[in-house]
Amino acid sequence: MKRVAYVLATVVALTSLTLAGCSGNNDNASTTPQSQSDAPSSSSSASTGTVAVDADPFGKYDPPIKMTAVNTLIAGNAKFLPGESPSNNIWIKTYADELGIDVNVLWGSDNVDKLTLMVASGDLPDIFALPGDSTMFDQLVDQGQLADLTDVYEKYASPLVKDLMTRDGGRTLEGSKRNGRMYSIPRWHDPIDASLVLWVREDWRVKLSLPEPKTMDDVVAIANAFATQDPDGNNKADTTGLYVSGDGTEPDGYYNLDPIFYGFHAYPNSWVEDASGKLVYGKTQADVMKPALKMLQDMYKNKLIPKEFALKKGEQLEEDTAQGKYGLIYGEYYFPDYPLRSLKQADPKSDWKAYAIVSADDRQAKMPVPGLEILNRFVVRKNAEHPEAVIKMLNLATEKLFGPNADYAKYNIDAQTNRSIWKYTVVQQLMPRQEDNKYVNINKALETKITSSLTTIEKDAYDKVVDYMNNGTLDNWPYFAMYGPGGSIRHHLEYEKDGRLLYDKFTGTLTPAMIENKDALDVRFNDVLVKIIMGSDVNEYDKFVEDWYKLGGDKMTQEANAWYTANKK
Amino acid sequence: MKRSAGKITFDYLNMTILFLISLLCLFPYIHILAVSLSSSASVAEGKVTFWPVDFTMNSYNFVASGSRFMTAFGISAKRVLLGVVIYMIITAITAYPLSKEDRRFKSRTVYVWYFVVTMFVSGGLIPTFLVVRSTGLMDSIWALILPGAVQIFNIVILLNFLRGLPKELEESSFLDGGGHLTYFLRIALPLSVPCLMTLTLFTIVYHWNAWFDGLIYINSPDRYPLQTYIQMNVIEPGRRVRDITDLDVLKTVSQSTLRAAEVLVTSIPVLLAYPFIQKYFITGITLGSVKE
Repeated sequence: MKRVAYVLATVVALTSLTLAGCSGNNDNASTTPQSQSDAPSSSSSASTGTVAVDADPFGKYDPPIKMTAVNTLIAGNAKFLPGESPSNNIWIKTYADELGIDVNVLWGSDNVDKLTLMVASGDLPDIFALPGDSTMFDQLVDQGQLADLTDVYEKYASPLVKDLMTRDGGRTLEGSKRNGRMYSIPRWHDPIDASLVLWVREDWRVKLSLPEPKTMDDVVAIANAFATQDPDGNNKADTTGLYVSGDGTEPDGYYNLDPIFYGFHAYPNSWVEDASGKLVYGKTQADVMKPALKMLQDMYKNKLIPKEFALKKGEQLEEDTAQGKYGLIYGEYYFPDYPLRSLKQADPKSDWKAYAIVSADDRQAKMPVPGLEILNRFVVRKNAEHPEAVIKMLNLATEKLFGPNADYAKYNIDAQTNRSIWKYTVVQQLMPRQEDNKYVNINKALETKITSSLTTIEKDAYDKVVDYMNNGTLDNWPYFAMYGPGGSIRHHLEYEKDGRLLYDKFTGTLTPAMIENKDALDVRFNDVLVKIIMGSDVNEYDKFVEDWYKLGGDKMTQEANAWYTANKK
Repeated sequence: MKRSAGKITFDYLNMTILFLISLLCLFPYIHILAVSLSSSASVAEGKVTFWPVDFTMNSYNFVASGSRFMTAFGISAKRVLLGVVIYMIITAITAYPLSKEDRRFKSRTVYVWYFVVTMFVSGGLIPTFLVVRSTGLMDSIWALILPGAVQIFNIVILLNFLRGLPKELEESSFLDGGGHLTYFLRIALPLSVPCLMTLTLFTIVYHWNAWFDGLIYINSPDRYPLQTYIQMNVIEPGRRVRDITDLDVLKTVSQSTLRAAEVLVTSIPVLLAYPFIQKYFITGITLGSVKE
């Protein structure tokens, strides 16, 4: 896709030289960033007035101030009501009504090419968001193009914002800083949400009277029974053991298989410390990777893994789920919402249960999670007139999304039209550990029948869980399977309690060598993974590790270690 | 003349194989058509191949009522119209003088190189972006038209075609008192219709299919041309989603019926244009290729 883009861009570029001087329709030029960024200066007189007011986190500007923004939360498939747009919607209206900030959203798109062009052209809006792992952040900091938000954050951030930002004890907030200063407002959630669990068709397991999966052998036994003992009772051998969905052309493409490696204490996607205290990439630890590969190979040979798994694409996951073809898959806690929901709708008797990942030996399997999970960084232009206005908008967004009077349907997600309204905000933070809290509080409320202490969002989920338990409303089954008694989130809490979470040691933004090679090398791993599973010699993996170092992995390791020595605490 | 049995068999075999091959080309379209006319539930379950299951026109109703799709369709139509007119005028008036011999147009070679060089050396994406931005074209339809308005490739084709016209035509036109304008408008252009039609087709397809420039130069969603709109909507799922609030990206898979309908509607205009231009097509390209 990218290549096509460049070819097309080149074609456009090729022919542009001769007509460069033509100025077309100048009326439309009023929406260019150039003229926009000049706009705030006209209202600069207002800033002196407002600073004097106080450091009220929700203080309204009078007269209103103007800001420009670029919204990269809005994906291409974002939905708007008729007449709405990135710069005309409920959030923008709320900023104007409650804070006196007229936000002009120049554009809204999550396309990275468009963002890169904007940054490269040096014409920055007052506030915009970078992808969390983007090196553009470090570049902009080094070039001194970003405002230092440390002081305005301290002064203006509301208690709720400060609470949400430090839910992990300040780990992420500190990790997002550069030279101890805050150049961005990170939008993050706790890495624990990336944990994986094992989803089992519970009705099949009970029907075939199989034990609960406690060890890797149990998993293989269940896979075997599901594949061979006709769990769906249609007298056809059309079910499969351990399901793999993925796209081998993407890094992380076969992540459903990763927990098998975790069971052998191999962590293919993480930077881990070796015996000498240096960082190594998990994929290079052939001694622990190979036993897992061997097991996968055997499973494939015994037809416990879909025969054509390498050809499946992500979108087939929902299709195969709806047909009830498999009963065992590693996935995130939200799987009931997608894709398992499709089977529940088609076959209400089906039942899924989440289990913790298992180990192949007597050591507990650890669950590797990213070191930091920063999804976006909201950054403010160096000479923006009102950096504190950004904090105020953050306060407001946090209040409307997670505060005591949060209006879910109005500001967060409108279930009726399936619109993610939260994406229209120009700055926001998530509620870290929201899912865990939901689980804990809902289960407490189920026991005590006291719902008064639940937040709006929790109450909403609680009602849905209760509705499923009492009336069996299928639409609400995902809530039950995630937050209900024994729901999938339980395992996140247990992983944490048992000290089984393994945080990635590398938490910097991608280094130059990683940008250049990491994705390609990860895809290369997919290739060797598929080859070995389908029958090649397991020792081919040594060759892969060798190649990995040769093809840029060496440099990546060096850079990761350079970062590690500089940032190790 | 009577054909031998072997020849007849060969013909039939040939036709069968060619027929099968053309069917292969047709199957994807039929599949998309079937998907667009099926209910989304049956598509999700993978029941649809070449015949609609649970026939419904819902997707098309939605496309017709979906304001953004129709707006984008209108923008693209406008773009093609403006693009064809402007591009063809520029191509014609540039190719004509450059087609003259060196003795009539002394620095002709210099000018030709001046144009041709840009086919191989470009300013690059960012400089081009900066130029478009500082000329105030951003977010207007002209940003999609003007930057590519001098299509060197097309100019070279037309140039060669014009050089292939008999010199005598020009001489006699001049003898009869006509100037360059008369010759250009009344003789050269009418004779170049096959070539011009071919280039028109190139231009139509170029403008109809371009999406990247729409993405980078256009900021308001209601000004996106059709292909940019489609490109942003037809997102390949399969990316690992870590945040439950981002699940809506994955859930769009079930909108595959809608996307199929949009893709089909999108391909109609060019399909319609082809039969009318096709008769010029082959003669158009080859005629310019042989020079004296």
